[in-house]
Amino acid sequence: VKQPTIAETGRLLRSGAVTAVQLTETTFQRIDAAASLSAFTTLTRDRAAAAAARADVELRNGIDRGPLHGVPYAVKELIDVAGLATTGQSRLALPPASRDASVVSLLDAAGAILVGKTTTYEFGIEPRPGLDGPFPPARNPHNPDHTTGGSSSGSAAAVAGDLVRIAVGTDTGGSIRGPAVYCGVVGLKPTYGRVPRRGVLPLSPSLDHIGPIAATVAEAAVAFDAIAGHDPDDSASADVDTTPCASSLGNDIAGLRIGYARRWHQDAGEPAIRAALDYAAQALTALGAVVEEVELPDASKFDTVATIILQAEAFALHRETLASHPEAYGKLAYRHLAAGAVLSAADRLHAQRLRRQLTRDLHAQAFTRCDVLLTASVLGTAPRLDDDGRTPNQFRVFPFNVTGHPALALPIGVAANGLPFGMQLISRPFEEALICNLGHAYETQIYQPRARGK
Amino acid sequence: MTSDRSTPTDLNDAQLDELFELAGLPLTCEDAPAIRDLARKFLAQAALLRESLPFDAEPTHVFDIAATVRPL
Repeated sequence: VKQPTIAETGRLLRSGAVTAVQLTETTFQRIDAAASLSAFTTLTRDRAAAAAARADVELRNGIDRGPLHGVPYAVKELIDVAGLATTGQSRLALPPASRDASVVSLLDAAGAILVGKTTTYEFGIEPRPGLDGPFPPARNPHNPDHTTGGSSSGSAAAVAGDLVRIAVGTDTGGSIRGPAVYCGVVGLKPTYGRVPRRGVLPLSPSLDHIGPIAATVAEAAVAFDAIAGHDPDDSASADVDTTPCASSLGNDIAGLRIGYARRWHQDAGEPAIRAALDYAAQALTALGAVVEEVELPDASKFDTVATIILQAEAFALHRETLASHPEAYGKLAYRHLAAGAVLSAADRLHAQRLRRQLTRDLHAQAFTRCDVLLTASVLGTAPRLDDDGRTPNQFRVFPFNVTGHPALALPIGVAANGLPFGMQLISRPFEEALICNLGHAYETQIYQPRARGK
Repeated sequence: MTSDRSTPTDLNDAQLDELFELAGLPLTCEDAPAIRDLARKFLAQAALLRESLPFDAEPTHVFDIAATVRPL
């Protein structure tokens, strides 16, 4: 039996048909039964039991914290939970976190119930799952011989496997959107600075984003609303008034101008995915949107900029421990962190300068004519877990870590091998509500995945 | 990171190893060949980036998306 949606759960909780304690117990039963997915590194059973009991008392007494009150959720292993070490999926012996990350505090304040921390690729840097880490890699619920993608791998597996409806991930180079697409669920990378990062293990601070992975766009919107906001403890945090996403769902999309970046993928990846992207563009036209092709700066330029920034910043963060505790790193993580040592300060500064130029160019080419961009996300399906990475899929996710624009990844089809694939919707900065509304229209009127996990 | 200077892309193993030494991370592990290969890829991308950067591109020290797109 599939879990109810967050909205349905809310109705059940408020009618008294189910309690948060029962819901939490059922969630742990699902997680235990799906242990072979390796979606979790740590379960927070005691904390969840206490939070669920508190939610039941509050709801009985008319204290309603909103749509997430009593709803179970999970967070990626890179995110601090008080009392637990934030290992980054490594063997580094780290002390327990002294307090919750901002996103955990915000979700707790919304009454949500943390059930555990989810698997990642080590420190978020590995290009594919390392098989020599302290935790096994997450498996794709659509086919356990395949990866979930990374690095928010367990968060995507937990949602696609129907263990939780929402989980929090991080995205430095597509790490929310890639796993969401590979697992047939929804991933929202918000605007840079929109969700506070205090208490989250950084990988590349000028590219790091935090956001939700969810079963549907509607649920991603609810989770995003709970974690978005200004936080003076994050130096990159933006103090901007925005429209809540959840209350924007259902708005008419007639006349919305959508720029379709077809040239970004016209010769790349699997033909079935390219055809599905064309279909998605046509389907949005049928919903009343005005779709036209747009030219964008070459995607490879963004990838180059992102690679230099990410590798230089990640090396700087890990330099001391790479030298002092090399044995604590898995082989792939060590390799990818250490190689950044050869980049110079000038290389990183050049990358930041070109980043600003590319951001302005993309914004001018896309958003002076359009309200939303439609692009490919990943031009392939999830590789096998034993894939050696020699023929990697092509991605179109890095550009929006470089520019900081919000990007929503959602499923649009299933390939002949039974694995899902998706598309990406991008808006102007701080207009997450617009892409959530459009994505919600797509998932309710055009494509409803029949199998989100088994 | 190494010091503020351009890094050539056609370094031999010994020259690359010197860069790692300078960065405080001598390459002594058995995975050194794979790390050197990856380092060469990064250096090649850095060279590409230098070629792509317009001479008059603005200097920058932080990334602020609102400030970056506001004039547009």
